[in-house]
Amino acid sequence: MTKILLVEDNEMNRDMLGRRLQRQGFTVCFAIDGPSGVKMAADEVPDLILMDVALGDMDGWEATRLIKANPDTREIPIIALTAHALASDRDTSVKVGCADFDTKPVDLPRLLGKIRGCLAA
Amino acid sequence: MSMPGTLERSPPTRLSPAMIYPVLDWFIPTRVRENSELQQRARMFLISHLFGPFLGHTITVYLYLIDPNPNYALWVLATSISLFLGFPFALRWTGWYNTLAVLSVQNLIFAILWGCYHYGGLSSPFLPWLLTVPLLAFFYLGSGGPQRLLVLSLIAFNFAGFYLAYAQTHSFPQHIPLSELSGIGIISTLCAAVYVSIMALYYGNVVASQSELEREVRRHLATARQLQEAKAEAERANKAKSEFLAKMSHELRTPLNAVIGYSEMLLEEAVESGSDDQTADIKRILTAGKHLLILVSSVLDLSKLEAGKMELFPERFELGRLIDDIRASSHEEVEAQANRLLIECPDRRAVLETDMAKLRQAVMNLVNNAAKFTRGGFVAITTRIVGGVVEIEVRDTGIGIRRENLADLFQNFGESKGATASKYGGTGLGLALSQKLCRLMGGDIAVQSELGKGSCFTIRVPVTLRLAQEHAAADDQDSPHADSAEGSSTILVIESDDSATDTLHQILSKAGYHPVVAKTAGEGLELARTSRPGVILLGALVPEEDGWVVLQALKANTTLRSCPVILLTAHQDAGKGRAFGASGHLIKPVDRDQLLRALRSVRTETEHQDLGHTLTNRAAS
Repeated sequence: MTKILLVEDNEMNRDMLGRRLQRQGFTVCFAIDGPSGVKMAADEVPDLILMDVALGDMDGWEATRLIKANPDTREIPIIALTAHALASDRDTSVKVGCADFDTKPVDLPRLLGKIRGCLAA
Repeated sequence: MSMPGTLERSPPTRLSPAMIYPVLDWFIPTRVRENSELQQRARMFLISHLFGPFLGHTITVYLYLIDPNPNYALWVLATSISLFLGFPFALRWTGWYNTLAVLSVQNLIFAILWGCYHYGGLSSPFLPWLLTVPLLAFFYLGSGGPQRLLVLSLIAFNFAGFYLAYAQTHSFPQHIPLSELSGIGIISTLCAAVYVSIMALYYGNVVASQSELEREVRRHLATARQLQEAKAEAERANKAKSEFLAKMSHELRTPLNAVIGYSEMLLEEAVESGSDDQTADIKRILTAGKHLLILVSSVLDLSKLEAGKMELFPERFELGRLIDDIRASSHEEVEAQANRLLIECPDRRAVLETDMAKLRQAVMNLVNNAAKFTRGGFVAITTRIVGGVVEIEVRDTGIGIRRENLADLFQNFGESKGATASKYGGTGLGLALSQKLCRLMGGDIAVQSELGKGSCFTIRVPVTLRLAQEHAAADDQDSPHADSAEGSSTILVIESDDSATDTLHQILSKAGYHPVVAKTAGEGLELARTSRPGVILLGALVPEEDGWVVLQALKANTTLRSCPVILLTAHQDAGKGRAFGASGHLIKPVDRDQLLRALRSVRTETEHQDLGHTLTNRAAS
């Protein structure tokens, strides 16, 4: 069973995306902020991480850096979720080591395509 | 010291020294006028010389009245006093201010002492005039040390001269008996007092206007400070506005996205369970939610544009990619009103460099608009590249626009009003937004319309263009440009072996490509980012594992992923390369024709793959 870690601080978004992914057959675990996301990544070692960029004190970019710095979690592909389809966001996602990035609100078929792409790589 | 121009600004209604400045300045040479302190002293000098002689001559006139047959003493005195009138003209013609000032002081001392010597000696009624000497001397020459010494020496020298004359006879010549001079004493003293008063008043006025000037300077400084504070305040307010917009944007979109997301979930469930009634209702919620989101986004984008907070993020993309994306996103809405969507894009492979998301948004607004006002007709998108400008025309066979409404069409909320609006919907934000976006990108929108026949909107935006076709005509078949998918003829060669890179460099340069060589994995990844290659040739690296690391890193990178990679290996392990995302594989030593063929084929392939891969920028983003 493919396990996805969803790091998202907004409860409704978390619930919504989580349930839709579960319906697609994924096991989903959740983290509500950057630090718990980093910890969950190490504890659960998911197959893929969906990282909301606009988190509280520690943003998604920083959390991604920490996950990529840990040898145990470095290989987990991360898809960044940003509110804007800006070139600068895309550049940052590349810089911190994200495998891909997508914009919110989530277009599920599109995101599923990216998830499958990352998992296949 | 004061600025000459500023002093002259005293109000003309009040009697002030400024009123005679034009007369005085006529005598002052430009060179003297350039030094404002010297100019001020020259003005004192001129006032003194233009008024003084008349006051002085009251004495000579009086003496003449007492003795109508005067001797040489009176003529010398009269000449000496009259000489003062010549000084202003001498100043104008020679410009030797300091010399003339010294000569004038000398002449004054002489005139006074001469008058005293010849008319009354130590009891002379002209003695009070001696008081004016230091006063005038320092006004003319300034009060520095050398000047003080000079003036006092002059006085002493003159005294000495007259004392020598006195010492010869031990008596003063008495041309007029002292008793007859008693009446002149009071006149002489009064004249001296008037004279000194004129000078003192003038001096007082200069001091006053200088302090006025200082006050003005202080006022200007205070104003500058206030302006600075106001500017800082405005910047704070502007920042607060931007923050407010950013915050509102988030606050408004989050709940709307939840409405849309949950209705999508409900819709999925309803479709699965076959509940048609619910499906229709949920679809309505979803449509309304999406509509509201577009509206909110438009309003926020407009405020951002108006606040000058909209930034451009230029990127390189193919025109065809943009048009395909627009077709995919809009055909449903166009066809919903029984319209056909026609697309004509001859320059599909032209590479544009502009903000694709914003250009897309501008075109989408026009297409949605066209779809909204057209029933059972067509919406046609036509692209043209004219010089350095891309033209995207959106034509429809809809209701058209009245000529008188064309002018304010691009105003916010300027769309068709009243009955039309209620039938066709629309807020008129889309056109305003499209125009502002185009202008932000350095272009604009033109519109033509005929009521009842349809409308035609044309976006013109300057772009950095790379036309595949233009190069194709000039180059031979092996030319990289002929098959240029990415528009870039740069080929990145990542390879540690020197002889291999030399060979590749030679083949590629001869074929018209621009090879860029990297010898290590790090250098390779760096150049992949900076040189924007059309194709990457990945050869053997030291250590060998680095080749796979580079390939993985390239394919994990969202920007570089689309760049095709051809592997150059010494053995037949194409399978592994393909699994890691390589587009092609060649066995070393590399054959020239094989290499060029492989380059052409991967570039064509990439083009087709890329059509599906677009940067989607939904209205919600």
